[in-house]
Parts: sequence; structure tokens; C-alpha cells
Amino acid sequence: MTVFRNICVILVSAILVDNYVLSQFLGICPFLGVSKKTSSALGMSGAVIAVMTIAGAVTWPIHKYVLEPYDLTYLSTMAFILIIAMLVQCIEILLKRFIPALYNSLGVYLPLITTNCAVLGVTLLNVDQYGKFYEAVLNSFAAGIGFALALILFSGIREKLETCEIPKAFQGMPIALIAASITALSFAGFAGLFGI
Amino acid sequence: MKFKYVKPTLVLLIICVVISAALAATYRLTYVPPVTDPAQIVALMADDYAEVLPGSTDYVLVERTEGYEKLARGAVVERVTASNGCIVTVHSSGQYDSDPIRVLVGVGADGAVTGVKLLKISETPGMGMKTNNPRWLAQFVGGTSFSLDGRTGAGIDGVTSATKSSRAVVNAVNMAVEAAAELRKEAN
Amino acid sequence: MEKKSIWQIFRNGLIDENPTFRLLLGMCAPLAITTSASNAIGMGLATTFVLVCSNAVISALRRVIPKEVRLPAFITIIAGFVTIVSLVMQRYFASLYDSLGVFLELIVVNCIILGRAEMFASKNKVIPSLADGLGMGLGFTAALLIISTIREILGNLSWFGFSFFGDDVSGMLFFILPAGAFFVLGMLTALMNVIFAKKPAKKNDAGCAGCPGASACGGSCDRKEAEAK
Repeated sequence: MTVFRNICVILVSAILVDNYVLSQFLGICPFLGVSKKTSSALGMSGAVIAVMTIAGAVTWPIHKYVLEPYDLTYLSTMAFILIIAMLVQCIEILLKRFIPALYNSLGVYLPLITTNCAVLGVTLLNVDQYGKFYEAVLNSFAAGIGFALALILFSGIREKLETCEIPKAFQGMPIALIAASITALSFAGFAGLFGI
Repeated sequence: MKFKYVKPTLVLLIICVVISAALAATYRLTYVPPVTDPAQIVALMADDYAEVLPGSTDYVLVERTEGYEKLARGAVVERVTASNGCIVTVHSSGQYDSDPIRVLVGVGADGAVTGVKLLKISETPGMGMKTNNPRWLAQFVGGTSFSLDGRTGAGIDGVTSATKSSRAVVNAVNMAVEAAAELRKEAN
Repeated sequence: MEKKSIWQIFRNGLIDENPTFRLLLGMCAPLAITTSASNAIGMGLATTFVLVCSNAVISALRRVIPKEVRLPAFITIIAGFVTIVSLVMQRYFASLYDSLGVFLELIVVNCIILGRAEMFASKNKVIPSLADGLGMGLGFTAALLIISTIREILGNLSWFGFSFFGDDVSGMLFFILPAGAFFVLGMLTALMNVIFAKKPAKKNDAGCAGCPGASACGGSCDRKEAEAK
């Protein structure tokens, strides 16, 4: 039963209460950059969920079974980011080869994911917080979902903003940031859910 | 086809090796070996111990959990007995930041808390960090069981909008009081 | 490309193309770390150090690194410097290290550093790259300082940890919350738009200089735009 409870806590925490974008401030660059259109937001979200989950699944064992035993944890930043870069490269090649349609819609966002703070952030936080493999992978997946949720919600808001009359100084990024502020406030309302 | 991959891979490999070597050197230079000798640990921490358990002497380190510097959560990590009570260190769980708060609690011979000190805390400045205030921590002195809503123990005024941090410290102190009670039973 | 003097390059990074307010790069840190001015300065200086060093090294190696492994090579070099800063900070500035948490390691993927490596350091000599790194880094630090000053004074009624009215008084907690971070940044960006109204930002949300992936795709959006015209 505690395993089930664990799973719930990880899911709720990463997606709602401590949302990776709106509460932990990871992945802000693509959050602000790719959210102008919902279609691009959807594409980016799909790619991020995939990369985050795989990256989490690959980096956690490497840290636990290679870096820790040999006292090489200071190499973890370098190792993780290189793994993520290679993963992204591999996924791009595989997609291009086997699912060209998906590659055409997602392809342009894949290189962007390498510099997504959320992906590296999730892998680094995983090794600190979770002692079991399934927890780490679940957390990575949930972080991706949380990122997707925030991104898609926000892109919907921004599309609506396009139709409003906005003062000249606030056009573009400033009004988007204010909208993000209100979105973040609304997510703060989840605090205390399930005692988290 | 394969030949053109040799040079780039080689260059990348050389860069990786050079940087890893530089990092290894920096790590050696900045490495501080953890203190394992109980006498040395007690000597280093004596001032903090005296702060939370005033008037105490003769510290005896009963136990320090394996991998003390690694981040255990929601657990007692160190137990020390002294002349007039015991001192327990607890790593909190449920705090806002991913790193636990290291709570040092002094418990007198009667089982009541004599002092609380936060040795390591990295909560949000302006919110969770406000628990690191001597006046807030003084609320624990003299009590044996605490809670934020006052129902299951003496009521502690949580820090506004820092419920997670406040609750984490309260739970840690409760855990410390229980561990101290066990220590006294073991001693007798 | 016109030849800029070293001073112009430095000033460019500091003001005209300030990475936070004009180029809108590297936004994670300005939002997360700015609840306390001392943390902000620490973060800014750490980022500046990494930026200057990586710019210098990448510029020195620009003819040696083959095009195919450009990105992994840059990342490795930057990660090396970030780890060095992290190890040194862990030893000598332990409380700052605790406060910065995971964001210190995340300097590796700070869009500013990769972006400048791609856009400037790999195409210019070492001294101009140093100037660019220093300018951008100090511009970033200045931006962090401004944001954190506002958030700390309004949110906590203190500055650099010095409380104006004593510990017990709270400020407007909104500014310490994540929502407040977005709000302050939004207002400041609007203010910058007003101040720089005569010189519009080099790009809006589109365009390569503002895109966090510019370093990754090598400015393909700009190229596509140019081709489309």
C-alpha cells in the first residue's frame, strides 16, 4: 500500500503541488519561448515527456552504480548533460528514420530540449531525492507531464492574449510574464493536497 | 564514410579527458575528508551542543548513522548523551526544499526540550528561512510534544505561509524527543 | 559585420543586449534565485565566471573543434567550469552553495552561455570573447541584483539579509512566492521596453537571438526567415 501511496505522492507533487515550471522554476526558457501557439506547445510537450523519462531512466542507474561507488559524483553534471545531448541526438535520428511524420512535427523542438533546464534539473534532483529506480523514473515522467500541463495551459492563455488590446509597453513578453504570474498563483492553490 | 567520424570523436574524447582530469584535480584540492573519530566529532560540535543543552558536559557520541553527510530524510542521524540530558540530531522530511533541515535538539533529563538549533537549512529566504529565528525556535523550550494546530501537542505558531518548513521542524523535534526517551531507557 | 571595439562589446552585453531584459535568455535563475539579494549576487558572479572562462576556452579552441561535435564539445567545456565553481563553492562558501541548490549545476544549460558560445566565442578571437563574456555576465548579475532587490525589499523588508524593521515583521509575501517572481520580471521587462522605446529590442519572441535553442540549431530560424524573404 505504501508503494501506491508513494506513487500518488510523486505524481501529485511533480504535476500539481510543486509543478516543475510554475513552482520550481525549471524549464522557463521553453515555457516562455515556445508557448505562443498551442500546436507548438503540444509538440514540445510530447518531446519533453519522452526525453525526460528516458533521461531519468538512464542517468539514475549510472549515478548509483557507476559514479557513487567510485567516488566520482563530481562528474555527474558533465556526464548527465552529455547523456541528455546524446539521447536527444539518438531520438532525432531514430524519429527521422522510422517515423518521419512525427519527426517533421516534433523535429525542430528536439535540439531545444538539450538546453531545457527542466530535463537536467529533473535528473539531478532525482539522485538527491529518490532511493529507488521506479521512483526516479516516475518522477521524471511526472515532471514531464507537469511541464506539459503548464506549457499547454499557458499557450492557450497566450493565444487568447493575442486578441486583446494591450498597452504598447506590455506587448509581447511582459504581458506573458504577468499571465504566467497569475497561472503560478493558481497552482500555488494546490499546496497541501494529500498532505504534501 | 566511417573515416570522417574519427577526427571529431577523437577531439571530443580528448576534451572530455582533459576536463575530467581538471575536475579530478579540483576535487582533490577541495576535498575535506569526513570526520569519523567520535572524540573529534564531539570536540567540533561541543559549542552547538552546549547551546541546545545549557550547562552540559561529558558528551558521549552514542551513534552517528552511516553516511551522515549523505542526505537521509525524516530520520535521526546522531545521538549524543551528556551529563544532564541528551542531544539528538534529526534530518527533517516534508520541508519545501529537497535538502532536509538538520535540526539539533537538546532534551533534558526530565524529557523536556531545552533548546533547538538549525544546523543546515536551505528553505526559501523570507519564508521557510524564517524558522531559523532564535525567537521562533524558543517556542519549543520546555515542551515534550508539539504540533502546529495544538491538537496533538503544545501548539507552535507556524511561520506565515511557510507551513511545510514549520511542520518539518515540528516533526523533527517530536522525533528527537522520542529518540531521547529511548536513549534514557537504554542508559538505565 | 562592423568591427566593434572591446569597450563596445562589453557595453553591449551589459546594457544594449542585456541577456535578461533584452534577449530574454537564461530566465530560470532570475526567477528562482532572486528572493535574496546576496544569493543573487553569488549566482550572478558564478555565472559570470563560467561565462568568461568558457568563452575564452571555446574561442581559443574555435579552429580545433570540428563542426560535427561543436555542441557536445561546448557543453563539456562549460560543464567542466560549472563543476569547478561548484566544488570550490561547496568548500569555501557552503551556505551560498546550500541556498543555490540545483541551480548552480543548471548554469550548464543556461541559454546565455551556450548562446554566446555559439554566436560569439566560436567566431571571434579570445580577447573580444572575454569582453563579451564579462559584459553579458555582469549584465546578467545586474539584472539579478535589480530583481532580487525589489523582491527582497518588498517581500521581506530587508536587503542583503539586513532587516529594516526587525525579524518579526513580514513584507508582502506575494513577492517571495513564485508568482511574484513572474510579476516582477514582467513589470521590469515592460519598464525596459519603455526606456528603450527608441531602440527596439533586436528581436521579439521570434528570431534567433531570443531563442534558447539558437545554439542548438545554429540559427536555423534566422536562416529560414532570410531565405523566405
